[in-house]
Parts: sequence; structure tokens; C-alpha cells
Amino acid sequence: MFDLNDAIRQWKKSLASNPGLEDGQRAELEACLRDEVADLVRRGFNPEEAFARVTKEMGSAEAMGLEFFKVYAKSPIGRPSWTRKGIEPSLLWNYAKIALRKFKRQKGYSIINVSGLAVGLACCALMMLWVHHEKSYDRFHVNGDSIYRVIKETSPGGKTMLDARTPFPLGPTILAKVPEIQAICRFQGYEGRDLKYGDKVITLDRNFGTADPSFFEIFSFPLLQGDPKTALAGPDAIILTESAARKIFGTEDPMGKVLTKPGHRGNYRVTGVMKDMPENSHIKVDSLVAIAYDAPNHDVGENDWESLFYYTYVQLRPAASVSAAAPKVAAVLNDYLRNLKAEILLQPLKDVHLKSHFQWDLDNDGQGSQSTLTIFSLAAIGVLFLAVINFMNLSTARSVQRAKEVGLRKVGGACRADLVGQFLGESILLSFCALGLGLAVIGFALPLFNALAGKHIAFSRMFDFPLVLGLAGMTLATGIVSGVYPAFFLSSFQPSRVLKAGAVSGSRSQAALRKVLVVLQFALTLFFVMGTAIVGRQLQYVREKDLGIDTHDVITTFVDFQDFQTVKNAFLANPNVLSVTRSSPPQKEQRGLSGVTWEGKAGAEGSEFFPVPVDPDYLETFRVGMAEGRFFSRDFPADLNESVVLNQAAARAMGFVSPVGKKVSIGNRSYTVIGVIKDFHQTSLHRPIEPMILRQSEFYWEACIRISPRNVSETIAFLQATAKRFSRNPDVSFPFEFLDDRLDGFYAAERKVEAVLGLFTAIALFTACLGLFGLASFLAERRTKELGIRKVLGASTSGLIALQTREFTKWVLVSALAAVPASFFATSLWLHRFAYHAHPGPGLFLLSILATLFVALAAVGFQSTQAARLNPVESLRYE
Amino acid sequence: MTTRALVAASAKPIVLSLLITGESYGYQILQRVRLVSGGTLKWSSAMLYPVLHRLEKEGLIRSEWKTSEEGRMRKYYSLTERGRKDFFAEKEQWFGVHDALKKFWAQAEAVKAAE
Repeated sequence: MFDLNDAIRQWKKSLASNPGLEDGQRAELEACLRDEVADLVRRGFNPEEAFARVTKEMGSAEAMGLEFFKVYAKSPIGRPSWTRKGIEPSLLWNYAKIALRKFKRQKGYSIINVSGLAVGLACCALMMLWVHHEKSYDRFHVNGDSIYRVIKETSPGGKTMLDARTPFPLGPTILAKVPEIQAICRFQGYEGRDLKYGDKVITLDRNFGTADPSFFEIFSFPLLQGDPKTALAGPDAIILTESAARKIFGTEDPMGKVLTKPGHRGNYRVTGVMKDMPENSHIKVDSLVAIAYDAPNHDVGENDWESLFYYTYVQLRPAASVSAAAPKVAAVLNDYLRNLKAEILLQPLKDVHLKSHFQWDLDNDGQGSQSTLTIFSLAAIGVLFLAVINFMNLSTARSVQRAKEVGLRKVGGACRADLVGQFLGESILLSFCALGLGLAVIGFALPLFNALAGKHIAFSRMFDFPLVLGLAGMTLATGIVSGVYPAFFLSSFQPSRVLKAGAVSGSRSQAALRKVLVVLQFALTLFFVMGTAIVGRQLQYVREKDLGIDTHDVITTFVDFQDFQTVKNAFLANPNVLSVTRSSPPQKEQRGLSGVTWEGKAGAEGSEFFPVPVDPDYLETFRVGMAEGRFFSRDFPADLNESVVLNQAAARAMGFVSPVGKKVSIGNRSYTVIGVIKDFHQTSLHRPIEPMILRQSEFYWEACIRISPRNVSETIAFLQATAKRFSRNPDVSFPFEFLDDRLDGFYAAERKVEAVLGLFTAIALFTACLGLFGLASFLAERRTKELGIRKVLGASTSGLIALQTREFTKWVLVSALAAVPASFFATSLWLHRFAYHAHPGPGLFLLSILATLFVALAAVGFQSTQAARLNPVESLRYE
Repeated sequence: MTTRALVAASAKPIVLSLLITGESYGYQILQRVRLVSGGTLKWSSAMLYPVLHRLEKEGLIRSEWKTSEEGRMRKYYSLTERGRKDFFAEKEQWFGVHDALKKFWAQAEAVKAAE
């Protein structure tokens, strides 16, 4: 029920809040209000409506107060003393002076704050730089938005497989048959960086590529010399990049010069010089020849639809839609390859770098990954967050020292908003100082990062407009986030309380918040530590796992000899060469066989089988055991074409109880199973052991050589010299690679994750401990007297250290409660990328916690020990 | 609608001319302004009271708290001797402006008619 008198009482109260209105004025306004309300009620309004109407017309207490103030003010433009002043320029200078003075007086804290923020900001800035770089891939092409790469999707054995490689004739065929396509360009890059000019062999920095003449029209790789339309049209045309041309010819004009390529027939004539391909291009080569004339070198004919290893790029017409073009391309492909049953995806050019997870991709080593990007960006934000927490904790903890300043400023007329502005300004200023320092850190750390990530990012990219904007925004946000709580907390002090001697002590709720923040900080740090530990554990597991195949002391090389048997005998003449086989060593990926059938095969079972080309020396070289039957032997000439060996997985997949003697056919050729080899890992541990079929091959292109672990460098020198003597191309230097190194390479991406994560962990641990150190020294300082009294009463030094560190220990342990499940969950997601992975036990987590605790206690211990060892005479005299 | 500037400028002569007929209080002044102007001028209490206080400070009017017939306290305003003098001076001024304006408008009408 509306009570008019009550409402008027409330209204009067609100008027009282304005210092501009005096008692008499309020009474007069009330009288008027009552008159007006009474009048309105007489005219038929109900009291509630009348009251609302009149008070609305009268306006706010503030506006009325200001009007009355004007009546009595000495100057007509004066400002009531109780309202907020605008910015006072003379005060700004004072703010800066105070901030600077505070910085000088509290050097330790300031250094902790600035360096923590600097490291955090540097991490974030570096990640922004990296993300910016990764996202800039292939954006420099003028036609970029209409260029797509053809991806084929097949499902052999029910598994979806995406592959960026397409048959050689696909490009020209779809250009003729699909109206949406305006232009096409086929591309393939090859290993081999050697070019011969005269009798000089020059090794270039990047591989060589083959492409259609349309390359320079579709893509925006500018030619410095030569005609973009015809440069790549001739059978002997070769285009070099600027730096390759300089490397080969120096200052000579490269145009028209004749080059040869070791291992290739014929000569090349330089028909163009292009600018170096940018770092952020997924196509990166140093020389380019015409694809149509190069294909025969790889035994690929013009209409060879089985040659499924060329990349096809298409440029669509301006109005054409991707969804209309893709099925038409698929129809053409399926028309020529009836068994493939492929779907076609057209991948936008700008997605090629970050969103390709296809087998056998062009740029597998430099390939970006959206998820890695996300993980590292989150890690960087985490590190920054740790630094922000440090800032918040230290500034609130040390607030006592600014309480008097706040009190005095308030007495002098500062209102809360002034103080909030002052403190926020301070933290924003500090953030920008930290950013300056952080940029300097990046200047030093960027080469290291480039080496880790395998990139060549230039520091000058930091000053690209979007990055500058991002950095400024991030720094501002850091300043605000880290400063906002301390600012509101400090500005809330009541002058009457803080100006009384020694009246301020940290409030209970503030101490609680500090605890929560420290726990949060350590939870995050522990998460990092455990993550790194688990990634490290997995990599150790990968190194130590028994693969079922002995890859130690095995060297691989290309077979490029007239007569392999002669070379092999020459190799074996050295007693340190134990055995030589022309067989496939473990590969990162395998391609499946199609058309495998066997005795008693029921229906179209979905297993995919993988071929392993071997020779009879395979078993001896790789020391794999047989489960049943025998291996290939030179004593049985029929083995060469009529026998296969299965692995146990294949025997299981075919459902054989006694496999030896069973018939297996591949395509239209039939084989007899002569034995079953024990399961071994032919691929990386990301994949399970697949069913494999071992066949003899006389043409396999790799040789594996087992050497004795003694005199390794001599043995390699011998092999190198022998290989050169027998090689078809004496110009080619023989790449000898330790198989173990290659196996290590399977996990290059994981190793990168380990390295970067390790770095982040170190930084996180350092930042968190820096904060803990600051907090511990503050608390120790505050407890000086207490510790002195305890000591006088008989407490031991060690007891006092324990007293002080007990709380920190508690915090770390509480944070472990949150960190263990979180890191367990996150890392198990990561571990599932491996078909075989370590199972991190409680020991690993316990060890991580103990290690973190140890580091934390080391940070706290120094201060605590100092405080505990202080002579009570000293500590009690303090103050 | 009368502009704010004109309302503010005319507030003093209007209050003076109202009070020359005898003492009055805030709400009565508001109502009489509305009535006499035929609704052209609508003053709010937030505007009136500061004006009254300013005139009182200038010594043109004086105020006195009295109990009304309904038994409520009201502040009554009346003219001082200075206020009475000021009322005539104001009146002269406003008539001066009024005459001048009338002549200007008559000229403007004549020019317009000639066109």
C-alpha cells in the first residue's frame, strides 16, 4: 500500500544526500511538493501517481543542489566543492613523481613486477607474432580467394582417407570438362638441390619443383627476368630464384645459361629469374622446370591416371561456386579411375598451411597446425596470467605502505575515482614499461624460437600494424586487469582510519583472496610441469620401446647402382659391415595394397594390408624373429615371384590358423605363404601394427646396411667412397642416414611440443616463484616482531622456518588437487594421438608435485631463513 | 515553447509583478504563472525556488515561515521596498524593449507587404 508520508520521508532522505541543499531549502521543497500533490489529488489523481509525477518534474537532488549552489556561489562558473573535479594537470605530474619514487624505494618489488610482466608479455607477443606469421601463409597471392587445391577423399576398407595428391592428367582434363574452372596448375616438388654449371656442382638451399606454365599466372610469384606466359613452356626451361641464380652465376646474367641436373637426362636453359619465394608460402622451391617434360623422368605418361602423386591447383571463375565445381571434378576422376570411388574437396589456398592433415603433403615438415597454435597461445596467456597474479598479490599485500598516501589524498579532496585513476594509470604505465623490456627479450629470444619452431620470422614483423594494435591492446588489458583490484582496494581506505597511527592491517578477506590467487598460480604452474613431464615420458617411451625390429647401427642409403650385387659385395668386404639388404626400413607412413584376397576369404572384409618390399637378407639385418615357417631364401628361386611372408597381424586378419602353405593373391598374382614373421613396428607409434605382407623386390630403392658399432666414422667413409665408385652419377653425394635418426624424425612434431612446453614451464615456474618470493619476504617482514618474540620464548631457528613455510606448502598441495585431474585429462587427450603410449602413473604426478614444491620452498626458504635467524635483539628493536 | 533564455530573463519581472499584489508562496506562484500566461509559461519548482532565493539574496524580496490554514508550514515571500522600486525599473526596461520590437516588426511587415 502506498503511504504518501513514507514516500515523502524517503524522498527527503535522498535530498539530504546532496550537500548543496540546506535544511530550510529542503523544507521549502517539501512544502511545495505537498501542495502540488494535494492539488493533483483534488483533480482526481491517486496519491501514488501524483507523487511520482511531481518528483519527476522536480528533478534529481543533484540538479536541484547545483541550482541552489549557483544562487550562493561567488563566481557563476564555480564548481561545488563536493563534486568531482576534471583532470588536474598539476596532479598528473605528482602522480608520475610518486609512481617513480615508489619504484625507486621498492626496487625489489618493482623488479619482480616488471620482469614478471615483461616475460609474460614477451611470451604472448611472441605467440602473436607466430600466429600472425602462420595465418599470413599464402595470403600474398592476388587471386588467392579463387584458388583451391584439389583434395581427394577415398575410403579404402571403410577408413576415410584424405590425400592432396591427384593423378597427373587430372588437371588438363578438368580444365576442359568443368566449366567453373578458369585455370589449373599442377605442381610437384622433388628432393635434390644439386645443379651442375660447367663442371661445378652447386647445392641450392631449397628443393626443386615442377609446374605447369600457368604457374606464374595463377600464383603471384613475380618474375624479374623472362616472360611469365612462356618462361615455363619449353622442354628445357628452368626458372631460378634470385638467390639461386646469384649462387650459381654470381654477377653473370643467368638468362640462356645451360645447366644440368645430376641424375637427369638432358640440359636445362635458364628462361627466367623469379623473386625468392616468401617464407610464408607453402610452395617453396629454388628452381622450377616444366612438369609436362619432367614427368617422363618419373616414368609418368601424359595419360597415366595411376600416377597418383601430383598436386593440382585450380582457379575458379569469378562467379563459380565451390560446391558446384567439386562434384564435377569428382565425376571426371571417377570416370577414369572406376575403383577409386573418390569424393573431391576443394581446399581454399589460405587453408593449405594450417588446415592440412593429409598424408604425403607437400610441406609436411613445415606444416602448421591449428591445435599446436592454440595450445601454445593458451600457454603464453597462462604465463602472462601468472605475472598478473603476482602484480595483484604484491600490490595488495604492500597496500599498507600506500594507505597514508590514500588518506592524505582523500583529505586533500581527492575522490575515489581520482585514486582509482591514479592506481590504474600506474599499473598501465608499468605494463607498458614491461612491454618495452619484453620486446627486448623477444629480440634476443626470436632466433632461439625460430630454431625451435623451424621458422624464419623476422623481428621487424612485430611492427606490422595489426600486431602493434594487438600488442597495445594486450598491454592495456594487462595493465587494467592487474591494476583494477588493487586500485579499488586501495581507494576504499577511509582517511579517518588509515591516518591513525598503525591502524591498517590487511583485512581477512584480502588475505583469503591472496591465498586463492597463489593456489591458482601454482595449479597452473603444476599443470605446466606435469604436462611437460608426461610429454617427456612419452618421448622416452617411444625411444625405449622394443619395436620388434633392431634399428640400432643400421644405415640407409639410396640404391642408384648398375649392379647392386657387386656394390653389396664391395660393402661386405669391410669387416665392420655386417650385412646389407635391399629392403624397406620403417616408414613414417605406409600406403595400403588394394585387391588382396586369400583362401577362405569371406565376403568383402575391411582389413587394409600394407606391403613391405624385402630381400632374403632382411631378417639378418633387422634381427626380426619368425613365428612360423621360414623367411625368403636364395636357395628357393621361386621365392622371388611366388612367395610371401605375413606378419602375425596379417595372419590374424586373414583368419589363418596354420598360415604356411596358404594361397594369397594380390591383384591378379597369386602367392604362397611360406612363413609368418613376428609383429614389429614398421611405422611410427602413432599407428597400430597393421597387417603386412612381405614380398621380395629386386627394384626397391633403399638399401639398409648393418654396421658394427666400432669405428663408425671410418666405416661410413668407406661406404661413401665405395658407393661413389659404383654409382651411376658420380656427382651425387650419397646421403647416408642412421635409421635411428630417421625414426627420431617421426616424432619431430612431438619433440617440438616438448621443447616449447619445457620452455614455458621454466618460465611459468620462474614467474610463480618470483611472486612467491616477493610474498614471502613481505610476510616475513611483517612477522619480524612475532618471530623475535617466539625466539625469545625458546623457538628454534628450524622451527621458525617450518612455521613460515608451512603455509606455502599447504598452498602448493591444495593447488595440486586441481592440477592433477586437469593435466591428467589434457595429456590423455594428447597421448591418444599415439596408438602406443606410456601410462603415466601416480609416481610421475607425485614427482612433479615434489619438484614444484621443492622449487617453491627454495624461493620461500631464503627469506624465511633470514627472518628466522635474525637476532631477537635486532628484530624486537625494529619499528 | 518559450526558450530557456527568455524564461530565465523574464523570471525576475514576473515574480516581482506577482508579489506587488501581495505576499505569496512557491506553489501559488507556480499556479498563477500558469494561469495568467494562459499556459504559455510552465515553470517547475526546480526552476522557481533558486530564482526566489536569488531575489532574496539580492534584497528584492523577503521571506517568512507561516502556518497555513491547513496547518502546514509554508514560506511566504513578499516585496521589500527595494523590490518595489526595482519592479518599476524592470517594467520601464521591458516596455522599452517591447516598443522597440513593435516598431521593428511594423517595418518588417511594411517591407514584406511592399514586395
